[in-house]
Amino acid sequence: MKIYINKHCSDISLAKKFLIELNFGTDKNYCMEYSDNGKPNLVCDGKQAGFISISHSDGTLAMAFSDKPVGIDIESKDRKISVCPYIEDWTKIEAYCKYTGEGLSKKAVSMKLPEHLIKTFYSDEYVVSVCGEEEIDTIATLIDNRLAQ
Amino acid sequence: MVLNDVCKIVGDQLNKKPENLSAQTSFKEDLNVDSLDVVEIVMALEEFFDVEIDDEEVLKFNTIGDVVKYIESLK
Repeated sequence: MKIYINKHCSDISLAKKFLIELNFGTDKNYCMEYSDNGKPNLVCDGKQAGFISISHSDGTLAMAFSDKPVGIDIESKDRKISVCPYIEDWTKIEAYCKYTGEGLSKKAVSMKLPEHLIKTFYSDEYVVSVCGEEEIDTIATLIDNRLAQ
Repeated sequence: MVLNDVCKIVGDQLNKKPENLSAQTSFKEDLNVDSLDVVEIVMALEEFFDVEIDDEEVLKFNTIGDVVKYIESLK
């Protein structure tokens, strides 16, 4: 599983395309298509090619690429919420809902989560949760499509 | 009036002035809500109006007016 955090994106749509090209290279025709329910699907030459999940918060884009179903959520650490005690809890819920492909709903707030599938980490002012069966082998940070040092 | 109450609840959740919201205000285009905002707004509406809002109905809420019509239909 590879994760990219692309901060301060001047154009989120371009940033998404950039990360797909960064991950797969440009010699194959990878792109994203959306299902009717808004779920992004990774496609190469018209066929499904792996799994992708996307989240963004205040101009920062997080994307996860995996060979198995995956869900990712990114939120500002300082975001105040009322549905859970901590914003970290919410990112786990949303990551799990994206992993299963089911929509987010009020029921999701009280769901029992498969903690063994969820990893949560921090990237400066953001908290990120990822849900998936694969181990994370890359977390890359970029600033508006430029790899951060 | 249900519209005023919904505008106040949505305004409180999103830090917007209720007087700047209307039945035509679109959650996505005008207010740029994300899924967390939606869940919090729905839970706040349920608590205020003492109703249960069906998850499938939430998917149909494009504007504040859609929410108002739905809540009025429950009353």
